[in-house]
Amino acid sequence: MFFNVYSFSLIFSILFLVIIVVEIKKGNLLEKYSLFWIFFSIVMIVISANLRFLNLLSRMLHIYYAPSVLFLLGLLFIISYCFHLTLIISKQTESIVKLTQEVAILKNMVEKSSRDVEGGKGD
Amino acid sequence: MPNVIVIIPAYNEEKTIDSVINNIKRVNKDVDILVVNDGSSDKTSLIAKNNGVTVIDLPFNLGIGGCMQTGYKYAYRYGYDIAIQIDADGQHDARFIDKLIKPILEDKADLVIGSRYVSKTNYKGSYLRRTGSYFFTLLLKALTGKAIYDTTSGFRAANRKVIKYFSESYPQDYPEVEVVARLSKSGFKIMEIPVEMYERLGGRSSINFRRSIYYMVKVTLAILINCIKTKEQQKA
Repeated sequence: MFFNVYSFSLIFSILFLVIIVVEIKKGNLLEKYSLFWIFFSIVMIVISANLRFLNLLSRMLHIYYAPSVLFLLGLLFIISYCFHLTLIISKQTESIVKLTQEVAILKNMVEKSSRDVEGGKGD
Repeated sequence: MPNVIVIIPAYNEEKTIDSVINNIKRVNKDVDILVVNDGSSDKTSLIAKNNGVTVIDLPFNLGIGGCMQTGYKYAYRYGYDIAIQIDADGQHDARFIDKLIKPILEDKADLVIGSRYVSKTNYKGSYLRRTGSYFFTLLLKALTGKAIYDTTSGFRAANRKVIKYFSESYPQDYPEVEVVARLSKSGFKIMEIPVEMYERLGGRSSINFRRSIYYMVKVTLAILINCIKTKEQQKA
């Protein structure tokens, strides 16, 4: 196979999958956030390696330039992953607010009780 | 006598916080005062502590919603029957606290809003502010069927039921209007009583002229989104 958009996409997707696995092993990427990426790289590998399937898909979608299917898939994936990230951020923001409030109230309780202890010593 | 707590959310209000606390103390000796310092970079916290009131310091700036909710969480945890929120900039007159809690004591309301517009008071807000306020009144009336005139007033009293509700769920950004929509949708009784308000003594309004339009769009969207949420989702 000579170097073209398909082989490039295939090589990149395989490399990407390897990087994902390595990062999970090193503990830098949580499994639950990696599933989406693993799924995406496998889809890209399958499609890039399977020109007949890609051509079939492009005809079905009335896309006359077959590599556009790759771009379309990539774009759709990025949009949905961005959305997924926003969901995660929203949840984390909520958790941070709760934690912050809890810490502040606890800090107030600790200060209060340590003042009480000091006051008790003075008597 | 019920346990009453006055919650003062404060962000960089070192110029006014002391007099606000002193005014409350002068007219109402039985209430506890809590200052929730929303990550101020000035001496707000220190001044309040020196004045002998309880201060909760948030480690960083959460914004008015998260700040207010901290106060309600504290009030709920320490078993207060009534929580009053009052601005730290001196706009609200502590003499009206008794009037504010009266409908709650008589079990006529769950939330009482100190209102500039119910009857004629000396308060003259900017034209834009009054127009915006009127818009929210119409919006809330369309959605909940209830006319509330001063939806943006931050001078309020809440009973134990509302304190519990707020400690579980409180909108984070620009909460004043949204809270009213949520409460009246959930069947809480809301009442407005006329109070005097003053131009702020110091500090800057969290809503300045340039951001008013953004504020209105954002709050409107928040209220509309809120309409499609279920009660359970609001609590999350």
